Amino acid sequence: MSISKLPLRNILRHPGRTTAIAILVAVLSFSLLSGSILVYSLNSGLRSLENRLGADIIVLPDSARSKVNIDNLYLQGTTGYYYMSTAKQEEITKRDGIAAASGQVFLATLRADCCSMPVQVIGFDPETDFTVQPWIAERAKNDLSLNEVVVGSKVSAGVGESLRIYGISCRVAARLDATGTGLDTAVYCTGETMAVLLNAAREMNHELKITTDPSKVVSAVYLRVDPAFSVEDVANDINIHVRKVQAVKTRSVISGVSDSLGGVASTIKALIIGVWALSFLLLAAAFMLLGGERKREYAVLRVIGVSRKRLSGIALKEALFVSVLGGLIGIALSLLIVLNFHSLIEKALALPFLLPSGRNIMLFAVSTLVCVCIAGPLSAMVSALKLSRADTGIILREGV
Amino acid sequence: MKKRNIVFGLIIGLMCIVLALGVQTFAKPCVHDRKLMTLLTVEGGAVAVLAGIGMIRPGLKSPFLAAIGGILAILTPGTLMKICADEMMRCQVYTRPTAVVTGALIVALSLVWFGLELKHREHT
Amino acid sequence: MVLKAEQVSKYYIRPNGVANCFEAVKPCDLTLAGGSVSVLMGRSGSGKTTLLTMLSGLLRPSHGRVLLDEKDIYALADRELSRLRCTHFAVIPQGTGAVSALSVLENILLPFSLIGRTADEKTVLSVMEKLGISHLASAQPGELSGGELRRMAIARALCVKPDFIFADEPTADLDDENSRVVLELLRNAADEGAAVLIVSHEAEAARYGDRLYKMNAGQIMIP
Repeated sequence: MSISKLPLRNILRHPGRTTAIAILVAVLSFSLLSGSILVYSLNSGLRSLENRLGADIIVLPDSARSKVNIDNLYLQGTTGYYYMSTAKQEEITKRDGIAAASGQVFLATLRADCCSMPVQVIGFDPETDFTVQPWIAERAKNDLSLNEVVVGSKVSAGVGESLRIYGISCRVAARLDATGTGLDTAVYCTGETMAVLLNAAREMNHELKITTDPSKVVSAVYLRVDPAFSVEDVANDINIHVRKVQAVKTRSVISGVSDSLGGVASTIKALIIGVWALSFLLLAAAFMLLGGERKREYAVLRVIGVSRKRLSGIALKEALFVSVLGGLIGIALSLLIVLNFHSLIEKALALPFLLPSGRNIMLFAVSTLVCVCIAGPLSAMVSALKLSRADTGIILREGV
Repeated sequence: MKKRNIVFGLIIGLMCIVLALGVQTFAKPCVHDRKLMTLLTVEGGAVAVLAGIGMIRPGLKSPFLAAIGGILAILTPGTLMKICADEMMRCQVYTRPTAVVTGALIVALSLVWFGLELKHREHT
Repeated sequence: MVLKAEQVSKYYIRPNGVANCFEAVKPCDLTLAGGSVSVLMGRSGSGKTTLLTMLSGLLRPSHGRVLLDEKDIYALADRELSRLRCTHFAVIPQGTGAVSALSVLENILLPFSLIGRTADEKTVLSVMEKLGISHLASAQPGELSGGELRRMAIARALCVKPDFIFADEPTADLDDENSRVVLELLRNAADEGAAVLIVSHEAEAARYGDRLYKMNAGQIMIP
């Protein structure tokens, strides 16, 4: 039996002791990895929201206020339906300082055959649109034709499959990447397809009251402001001069989300620091107690000729092995729980939430393992040094 | 009864209770899918019984069968039984993760238990 | 090889004691040479163990020097002193000295892995046989009695065939028969060239010694 195998033997022969320390290290790695994934997911959710909100201002009819929370428009999906006439859109477009304007029509289905949850259908005008098409173009090769749709990442319909919306069969032309927002449950189509769907919906759903021609309504007008004007001034101008509409600055939506996200992220970071501080102290105390208990054993090793340096090495190696074991357990548990419950976390936080890619998750896991592999032996350092410095003669004299 | 068998039996039993009661309460599937709910509860109950047997009569059978029970719990929602395809539905948000997490923990613990029993058997 | 203690002494500072400086060993000289058994006797607390640990390189004296072939062992760096301990010295400490994660045989063979030498299987088996622990080779220290653990520590010291053996109360937990075997084995080691120092308060040990020393209140005396 080589002395270099002693740390491993110590771990295997004392399962109770090993398990207790491994659990503490597992708490460290679990909190670090879960926290890192959560903070990263929230940040990338915000980034994707910023990327997708291509407009400076969104103008909604006043009736929208009673149907949806405007601040959450893009976070939880807009399951309501509200409309204004295209004449209103023209009125808005004529205001000063507007560089580009495009109308979108929303339609919420109560049940689509893809799934049993409501789906938001968003109809855009291909000729004027500047918000949806840039990222649809990343996935769909050709322009959308009649009864063709592009679906968000959480709509369970594959490319080439058909989706029945209000009885109309729509072919899925492409699936978009995940954004971690309500946009993931949306279905996109052109205004032409939307008019067909609205007609069908009007026949099936009594609550949908569109008195005019469905092709002459919009739910929201997306505006890009001329750089020579301020977004604030243009939004105020619309709110004052155009009746029965509300202009919302997308920056304020993002900053609202960013503020809530900042709060959640700070809480998570504080929790990680708290858990680490506590676990580190507990680990150091555990190693200290363990060291006291094994004083006699270490003295025996010194008696047979193990140097102080080697003795510290044995103690630190043992701490390292337990840290690797605990670290791996914590990482496995963290991945198991966070990856499986990510939808629940997303729902509970009500913030944009986009999980990191597999490669990034691996990177986080490896970094976590490295961190606990440093923290474990570091917490054992004081006890190892104290033990190796202790006078063997005095320990033997005590006859423990 | 050996301390090891009591510890493993109790922890696995606890996981089974979380699974069996979870799918009846907080992790209830969409539109209260009775079949899925019943199957997961039965699986949880069966593994709990195996864990109990393993505590009283130590051997290789109980941990091995408990591991199979855990695998079944993982596979039931989605693979063995169809669930809502939409990611934001209850069965995807609550039921499946609960079954997968508890199932995976049951499998891991049962395998460790099995390994220790095997080692103990070789030693004696 | 000759090990010489020159005016070695050890005192401890007691933080709250009435007399806060306690002199465990008063300045003394002692020489251990190969082929002889020295027996150090005395009452409990007379300083025997302290002197033994100082001689074996485990406790730095407060004053004086311990010379191995005229070289002060406490002038060596810890690494060198540890190396010296594992190659030339073997200590049988008081009480039960075992590494709990290793079996009895592994405990006995542990010094060999430090020296980098392969153990002579025959010698190991014969020593274990003589000490009556050969059937415990694969047992764990936790399963052993105090006497068995003591014999394991003795076997560990004898098997490496060191130049110096320091035995602190080697027969303390043993019955008469086992005590006799242990003392005979230590005598044999000396006959094969080792220098043996036995610390004991049992009169029987004195019968196996070439030189007898007595200790009283930290002072060494030749009777």
